Amino acid sequence: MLLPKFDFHEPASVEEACQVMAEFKEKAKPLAGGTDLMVNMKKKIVSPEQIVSLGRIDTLKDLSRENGTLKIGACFTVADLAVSETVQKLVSALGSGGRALGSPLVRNLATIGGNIGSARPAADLPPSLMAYGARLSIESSRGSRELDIEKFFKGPGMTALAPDEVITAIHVDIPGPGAGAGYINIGVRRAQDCNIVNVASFLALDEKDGAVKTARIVMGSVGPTPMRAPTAEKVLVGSRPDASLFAEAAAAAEQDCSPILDFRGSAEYRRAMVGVLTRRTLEIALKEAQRG
Amino acid sequence: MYYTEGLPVPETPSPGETPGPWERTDVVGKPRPRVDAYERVSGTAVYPSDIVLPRMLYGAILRCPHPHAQVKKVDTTAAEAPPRVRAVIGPGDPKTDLPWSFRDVKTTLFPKTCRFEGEPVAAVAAETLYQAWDAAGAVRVDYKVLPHVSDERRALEKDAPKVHENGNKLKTDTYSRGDVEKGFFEADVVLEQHYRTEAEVHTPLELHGCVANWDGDVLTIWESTQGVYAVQSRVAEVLGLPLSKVRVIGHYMGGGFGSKLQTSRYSIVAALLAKKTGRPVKSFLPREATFLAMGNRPPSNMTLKAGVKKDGTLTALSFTCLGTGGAYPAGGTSLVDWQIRDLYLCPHVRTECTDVYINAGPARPFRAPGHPQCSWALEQMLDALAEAIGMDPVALRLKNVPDYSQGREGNPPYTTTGLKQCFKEGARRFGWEKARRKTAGQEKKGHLRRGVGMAGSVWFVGGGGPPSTVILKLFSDGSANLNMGASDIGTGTKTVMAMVAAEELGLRPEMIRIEHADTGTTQYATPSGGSKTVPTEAPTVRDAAVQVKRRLLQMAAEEMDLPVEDLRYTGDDIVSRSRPDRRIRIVDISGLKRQGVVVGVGHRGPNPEKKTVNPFCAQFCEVEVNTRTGELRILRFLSTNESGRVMNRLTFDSQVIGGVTMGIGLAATEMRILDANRTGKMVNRNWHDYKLPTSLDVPADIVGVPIEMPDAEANISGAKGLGEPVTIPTAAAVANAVYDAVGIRITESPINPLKLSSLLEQQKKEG
Ligand SMILES: Cc1cc2nc3c(=O)[nH]c(=O)nc-3n(C[C@H](O)[C@H](O)[C@H](O)COP(=O)(O)OP(=O)(O)OC[C@H]3O[C@@H](n4cnc5c(N)ncnc54)[C@H](O)[C@@H]3O)c2cc1C
Repeated sequence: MLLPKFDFHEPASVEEACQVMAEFKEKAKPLAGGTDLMVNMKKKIVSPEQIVSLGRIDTLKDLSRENGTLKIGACFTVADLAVSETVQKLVSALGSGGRALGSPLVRNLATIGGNIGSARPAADLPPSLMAYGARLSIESSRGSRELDIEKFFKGPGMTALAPDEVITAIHVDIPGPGAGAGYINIGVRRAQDCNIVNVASFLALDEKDGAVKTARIVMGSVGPTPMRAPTAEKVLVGSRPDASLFAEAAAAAEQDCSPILDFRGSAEYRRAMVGVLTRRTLEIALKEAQRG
Repeated sequence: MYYTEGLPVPETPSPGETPGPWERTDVVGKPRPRVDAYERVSGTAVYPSDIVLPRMLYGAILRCPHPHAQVKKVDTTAAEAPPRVRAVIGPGDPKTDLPWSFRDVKTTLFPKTCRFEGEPVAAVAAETLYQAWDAAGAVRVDYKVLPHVSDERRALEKDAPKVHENGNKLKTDTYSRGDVEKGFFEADVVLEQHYRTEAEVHTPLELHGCVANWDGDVLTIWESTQGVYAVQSRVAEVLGLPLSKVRVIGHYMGGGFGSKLQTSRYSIVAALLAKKTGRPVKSFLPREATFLAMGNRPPSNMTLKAGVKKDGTLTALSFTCLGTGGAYPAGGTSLVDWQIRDLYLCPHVRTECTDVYINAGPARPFRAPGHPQCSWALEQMLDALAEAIGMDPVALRLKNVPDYSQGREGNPPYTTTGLKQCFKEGARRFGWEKARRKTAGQEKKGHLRRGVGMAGSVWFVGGGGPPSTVILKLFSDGSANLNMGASDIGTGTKTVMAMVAAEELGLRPEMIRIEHADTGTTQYATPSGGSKTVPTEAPTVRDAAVQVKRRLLQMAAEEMDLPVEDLRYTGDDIVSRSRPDRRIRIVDISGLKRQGVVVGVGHRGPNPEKKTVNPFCAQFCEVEVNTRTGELRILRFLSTNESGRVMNRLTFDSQVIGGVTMGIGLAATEMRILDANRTGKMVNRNWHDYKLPTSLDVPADIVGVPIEMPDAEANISGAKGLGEPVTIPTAAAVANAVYDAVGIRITESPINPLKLSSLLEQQKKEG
């Protein structure tokens, strides 16, 4: 398995990167950590002629807090995500996703932008990002736009990005008091695996009566993109959270998904695990929400 | 002398006298880091994959993408066209499409009929690796795809496609002693159960491959191999060369686990490409090709019927196995029944093993061939019997421990057997009884269930034996050079041999430089496999060291004008026993100074007659099952091993940890998946989809407990093999622990969350 031929660009700024992307469009691909792209190129699944490395653009590597929002640069590494105290404190479910991803070697290279850009149905970061209601900053030589991450995924490996666009940052509104989230993944082994199922849940409770105000449950690996569990969310909203409510939501989530069977796992198992993980992530979210 | 550390040195036996066991050891048995640790860790160690020669070309082998196909036409025109392609070879040319065989089945390097996915079809050599693979990709092959059979369980069906013209059955081996029907009649309880283990693939870290270079009519091959002499003889045979003209070098190698014991077609192909181009050729397989074509532990379908009396006496064992070595004869059922015959006392035993062909890559020996599979069946059955008669699993096994080999002609005794001690000491150190009481008492309410399990084993060989020759050269400054042919396959062979020489000579191990694994410059050795390298080579090294001491004593006797019997070698000097004031420093012996070196030639002595040398093992483990998700966590493992003398306590522990890790792979994560119903191709031919256990799947708590029993008969080092015994009972112990946790007998490997959860579901439904 060898890499196909390509030209290599190393722009020093986002503008410069956008210029190169605009010049080559479909023929170009941004390169972040390369842990997804290089593998696909070696397998000859994709053979972009122009590789636009984002590695020299330092502004893409930042993590900053502006008002109530956490801004994560697209090239922030998963290794940093996994250990960052800020992430752990403010958006712990994203930290859980980071720690679940690959191995230390992979995490050192892998980036959050690349994880989103790869658009794999089983990827570890999108579910919690969707549960937090994250937004993406997207730039091109034509200008910039912001997109709700939920509108980003179109299918396995397919996204809402135009050929000349790059993701520059991810914005997550920091959950206030009374809100929390959890993320859990499951595979055949405990590391370096393709998830069989992964679920993130977000809960915001009403300050007064403690009932669920907002609920977002995102299921990975059970459809062409990570997907919300609308029926399960409906079960939760307006009710006081407890074990039986969560059990009901878990059962609803099982019906919300449409898993496939492949050599990695049966549809029944995936469905059953959606239930288990929904309940468990809701429990984590609730604990965090009630922490005050 | 500068090179010693004043440690006591064993007595030197007189010429003709065989050295007795060491009474005490000061180097051997201690925890000592690898002599080549720095080289390995720093990256300065040169593995065959690292070899780069001036003007070197790269080879690439095009492999058949179908499990069964006829190669109708190979068109290399386009392949020859790309720039810088230097040679293309393929089927039909008698100069390069040489005869090849798997045991007695003949084929060629580039067969007309490909019987497994990954058989070589053509090969190219080019200036760069990229050009080589581009050229291989440009070879046009016209295949006639033939129907395939990729599941051994269907291979004997009437309408199954034939892998070879004379059908899919290779052979059936039977063994019997006593009368099993009588045995079952005498039993109080008879159980019968079917078991299956999935195929595992070796996947050592260093890929399979070599660099070949001709110098006139002399061929040199740098090969990642477990045995340089084994490669030398096959290459010489196939190419029609004298052994003296084939030099095989394999100083460092990155793992084999049995898959690099034999010679592969790629080495011949590299030699042919090098010959044709007049340039060195490097040819390493891509990872995917090694999954397909470089061996596997074959799947085993086993049925075991066993009878036991209420007091725990085994009365009869009847065992059948259907297995496959893939598309060619490759030991598909090799040794699968051995422990049925040999591990536990049983008067009435019958085994029947049928080996069939399927369209899949040939098997190769895989760490303790046949044994973990057998253990999976036998040790689960023993637990089931114990439960049926209300006996503790350890007690049942202890009731049936033999001190002689029932499976061998003439029932020879083992030189030593520590199997009983393995069970007893293992149970004590593990806290078996307490743990069992705890898991038995656990409420059936929680979704996390703990369980403990254990299993025992014997390894078919492990005693080593002749031939082996080693040369130990003591230089005039007192440092030494040890020259041996054996490969160090990562197990620490070099370190252990330096320790043996150091023990005998009183030298610091760092002062002993090892030259090894080179047919051109080092002595003859059989391949490193069968857990026999230490028990074969350590006695040979000891013999060589004794020869050196004898020679030095001789020289000193002449110089000091004293009878040699009066002299004693101390490491630093040679001293008169009767007049201790008369002594001479080793480095001052004028004979040594004059000659520059003293050479000792060691040979491996014979094994004891009418006895057998075997290592034994028992393992204990604790697991936790999540009954909601089917996740299995292995919490701790303890391995008790009776492998004779422990040579190096660090390498001992490394083997235990490695063996348990591999056994956990068989138990819980690994399986080759063939798309048997449709394409017959392997689905999970990479490290992503083929699940080796990661460090998070293996407990940090793995303890090795040596049971050391002095074995004066096995060989003059007292060591027996360890590397394979440590992985035999692991998977069975895990299965037994899972049963203890949730009451489900998992008879088919691997115990992954998917399987476990569906069985738990079924259990719930059945109440
Ligand atoms: C051994 C191994 C194990 C793995 N395990 C996991 C796992 O457990 N969980 C998991 O989720 N993933 C896993 N992966 C996949 C991969 O590591 C992750 O998806 C990772 O986050 C990708 O990030 P990257 O920076 O390496 O992306 P790259 O490979 O650099 O890029 C991935 C894709 O996104 C595009 N892209 C990258 N950055 C941008 C950007 N800023 N704007 C627009 N497009 C962009 C690229 O063009 C490409 O198409 C694993 C990969 C390997 C090799």
